Amino acid sequence: MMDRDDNNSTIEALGKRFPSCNASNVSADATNPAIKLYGRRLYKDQTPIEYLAELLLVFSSPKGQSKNADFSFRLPYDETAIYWPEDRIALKLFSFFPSSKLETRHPVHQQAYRGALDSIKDSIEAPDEDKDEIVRLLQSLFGGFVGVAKNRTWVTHSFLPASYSLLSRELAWEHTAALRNPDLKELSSNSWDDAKRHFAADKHLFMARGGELLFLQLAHLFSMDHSEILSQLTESDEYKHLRRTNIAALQNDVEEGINSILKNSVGELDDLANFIEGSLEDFKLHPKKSATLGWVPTTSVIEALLFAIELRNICRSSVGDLEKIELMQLLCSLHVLRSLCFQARRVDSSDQNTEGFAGNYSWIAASPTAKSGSAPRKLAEGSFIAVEEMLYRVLRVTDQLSGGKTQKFNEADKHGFQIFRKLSKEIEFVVPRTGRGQRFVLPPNILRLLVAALLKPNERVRLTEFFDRVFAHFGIALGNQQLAKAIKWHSQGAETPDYAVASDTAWIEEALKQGGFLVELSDAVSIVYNP
Amino acid sequence: MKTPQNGFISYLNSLHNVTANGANALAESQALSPYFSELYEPFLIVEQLVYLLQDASERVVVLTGHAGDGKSTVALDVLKRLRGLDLKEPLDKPLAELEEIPESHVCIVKDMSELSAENRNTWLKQAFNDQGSWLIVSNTGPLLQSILSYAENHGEAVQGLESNLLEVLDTPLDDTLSTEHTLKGLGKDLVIVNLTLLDNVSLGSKLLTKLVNHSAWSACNNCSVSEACPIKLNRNALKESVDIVEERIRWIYKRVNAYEQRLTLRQMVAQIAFGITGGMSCEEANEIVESSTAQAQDKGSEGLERIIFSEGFFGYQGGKPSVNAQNLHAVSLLQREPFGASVSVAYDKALTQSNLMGWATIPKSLEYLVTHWRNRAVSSEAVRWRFALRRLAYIFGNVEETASAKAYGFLDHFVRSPSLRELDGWQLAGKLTLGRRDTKLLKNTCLQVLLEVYSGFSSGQFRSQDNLYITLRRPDRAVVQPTQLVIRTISFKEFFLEFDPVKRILILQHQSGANLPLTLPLLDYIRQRGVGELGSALSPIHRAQLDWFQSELLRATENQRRSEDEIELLRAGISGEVQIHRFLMDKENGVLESDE
Repeated sequence: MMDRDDNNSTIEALGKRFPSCNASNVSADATNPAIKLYGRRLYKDQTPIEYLAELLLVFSSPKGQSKNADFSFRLPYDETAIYWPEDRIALKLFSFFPSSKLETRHPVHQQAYRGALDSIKDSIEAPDEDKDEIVRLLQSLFGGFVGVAKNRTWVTHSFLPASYSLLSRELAWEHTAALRNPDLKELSSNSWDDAKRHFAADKHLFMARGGELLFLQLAHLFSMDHSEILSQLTESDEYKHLRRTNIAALQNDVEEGINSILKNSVGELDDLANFIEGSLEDFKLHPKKSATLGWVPTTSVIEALLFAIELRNICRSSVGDLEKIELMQLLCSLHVLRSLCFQARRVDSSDQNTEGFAGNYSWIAASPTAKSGSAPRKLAEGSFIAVEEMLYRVLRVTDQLSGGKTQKFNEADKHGFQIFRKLSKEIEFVVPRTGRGQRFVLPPNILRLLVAALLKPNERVRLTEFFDRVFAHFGIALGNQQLAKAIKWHSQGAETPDYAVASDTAWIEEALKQGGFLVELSDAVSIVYNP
Repeated sequence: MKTPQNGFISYLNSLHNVTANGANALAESQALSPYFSELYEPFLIVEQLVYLLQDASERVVVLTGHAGDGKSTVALDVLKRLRGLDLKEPLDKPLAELEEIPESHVCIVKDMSELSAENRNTWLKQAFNDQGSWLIVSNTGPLLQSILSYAENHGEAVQGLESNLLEVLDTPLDDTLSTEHTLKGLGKDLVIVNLTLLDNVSLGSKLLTKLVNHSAWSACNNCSVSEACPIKLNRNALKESVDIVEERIRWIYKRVNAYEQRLTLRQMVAQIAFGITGGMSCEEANEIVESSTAQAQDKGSEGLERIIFSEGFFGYQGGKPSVNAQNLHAVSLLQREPFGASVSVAYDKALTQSNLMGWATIPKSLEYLVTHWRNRAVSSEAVRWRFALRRLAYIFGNVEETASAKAYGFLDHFVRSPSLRELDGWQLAGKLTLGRRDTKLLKNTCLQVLLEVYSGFSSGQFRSQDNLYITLRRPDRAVVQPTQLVIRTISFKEFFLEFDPVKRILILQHQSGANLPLTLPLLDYIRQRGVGELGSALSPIHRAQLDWFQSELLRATENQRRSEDEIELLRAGISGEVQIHRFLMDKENGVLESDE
């Protein structure tokens, strides 16, 4: 158990937040142990696309009272940390309304939609009989770029976050309130304006601030000099590939990289989006509302650094821009899982540290086809259970450290513990979705991400080095050495675990080869190559 | 009475590790064997190495590769050339750890991997600092380790060295070395020759002919059972059709190389040697013949059935997997594919005809056996005999002139690759041998498949098929995109096909320099898609290659983008035909103009 001094220093470390102006008056900050521990906030219902969409939205929006610092990770030091996101309501109305859930189509939406189509047609120069077809063509084009639709109404859909013109804040439609609104009983030419107040921008149901949290981690990393932490980290050989990292240059590279993707990836689609938004000026919500940011614990520097390095590699990679977006989306999810475990280990003292990995936890992954009952699969199952137990435990520990006032942990679990299972299953890092035997696996798309994120473009490293990096960045144990360390961590440092450690890496090699990332050079030397 | 022995049979049996006596497999013992000189086929790269080592500028040359790729054989040849010895003559004593050739100022290290880390470092230091050039043989793992630690100890810039080393190790190799195989910055130029990258398939299959035609078979003439000896009968059948068999096994090796794994020379030799003797010794052969109640040559037929090349080579014995052969790596790879499976009903119906399947003439020495098998293959349960007959037809079948279409149809199916024979032909010729029309057809097929992959519409949906449209297609394919935005239109005319003599494959080249290597599996996929086969899925590796080519093309044609105001959309109409819709965008006034 921790002694009193440890307790004090942990509480102190947890108390430091970025941005410091948000040391806040939101009540959940004080009562919810998950928010206290991880920052404001992560929530279990946020989807992988929406993590990236939200991160890019904050990145690209103007920030602060002065409304500058768009397309950057800088946060102007105002009294409150705010940003000014677009809502793209007009584009969403045009693109998503026809396919939206019927029962949430309020008559005022139908009226607006018809009006919107007329406005668009007015801006099209073509024979009248062709205009309907052109409108359908444009709708079908934008419909193809839907990000998340699920069972929601049109305004809560989101686009694939591939370009600035497709990024938008969350809006919710307060259907019941609107139905009760006497002004909307009879439709008139002003109805749309009357309805605008029922579009709520502050719910954070889907864009639940998870992407904001990722943004803040990076903004904090770039906001001050962390060279001491960096040099400490790179003392160990596992992080030698980061030794020459210059954080200012890193910031510049990541900003430029993302900027270039957001501005170039979809070419003329941007022009068409602007054309639609421009034609539907009357349907927009005015004036533009600001959005507040949450906060992150300042202890998150190392994971933020790893995240930034990985983002840079993806931005520089030679694949197409849309593929980069796909990779970043997966990276964001994996990073959320990593951040949870990094931070959890900072308050959880019951496990020992992992040599060669700054996160001091580990995830043991097995082949997706490993047979039930086989040793690798059992290890992977055990690993998942141990990680979940840790995440469950730390919320209680955090509460204890700060006085133990929490009675019910429902909310805390939604904001801390349940995210791991939900998100890891969503990206298929943990299978099966339901039923027993949940375990870590590495599907081909995650393996592809690991190559793109951990190797510079055109870089070649030996397979063993690749295993080292995967462990050093994510704590995923693949090779023999990493597995030994991981098992040691899982067995709580007990001397010589009963089973011999000999990981079977053939499946990873096969999967890497299938993806075109592995070249078998000769006798037992294979190289991993990021083309 | 003592059984007569042909030492060559024991030698063959020592080349594979199926029986306990595998002692001759290593280059060291080969170098001393009297049978080796006749089998010897020089590596063309030896001349280059000799030249590099004797050249005025001093170098360190490292030979690396899989165990069994011929590293030691090449080093030995270099040594013989530098000492002025006959390449075909065996050495009188084994190679020493370090061989110095003072007259040429060259040192040869036999195998650096066998040395301690400390010794490796010392010798590398000498190699890079002492006078003269060095040739070092090493496995790849120890080589990398040694060079990196040498560089670190000597303050050389290590940053990026590993990646550079790995890049050189991964540079394609034919019989000439170029600057791409050289690494600078370590004192002397470091030339790395990775024999793993040498195409050894032709060399490997040639060994069959050499083994079959070896003069040592004449020793069998003195043997009393020679006429009916199963091993001799097997050899006779091979000798009768050796050119055909060499070609057929070359195709098999190409297929395995491209789809599975590269085989080393040693693995191929082992498999071929096993195919010839079936692991049978002179004593066993003698016993079989002596104990048989049949007459004359037929005394050996039963034994021949056990070891016939067309079965042994694929790891079977009378249609069943042979237990012994499973130890051969090459066989275990071959057995991942069902070689000998049914090709089509038409071929199966004709399988038991006297000329198998209506196209294959079989060597005379196998006629008795084939008759026997055909009788067995008629029964509906005799699946394994039909498999065996198909393998036999593949390996030995001489194509009857009048039935060549039928024959090649079967052969292509047998190797499970529609393009393999074609590619083999180009590789032998060192160039693309198709006529202009066929080349254009092939190029268009390639581009039509690309069009399909890049846009999601099949090429048949386009009215005119002469443009490659690259559209904004989501990589996750999570949502159907019935309407797509064209981001680049590239005319088919801007592409051409070229044969790359170093990589020995066909390349689809764009005039900007962006190129797509058409490896055999990719070419097969394109051919199959070209004739409308739906079953074959594109493997992730080729999918990645096509995606990569797309981004290369986009980069290379950046300057060909349409003017910013033009917008082009593709959409499939009710009839399925893809229509192109063009628009002009007036950004200033917010007007979209139809440009049809």
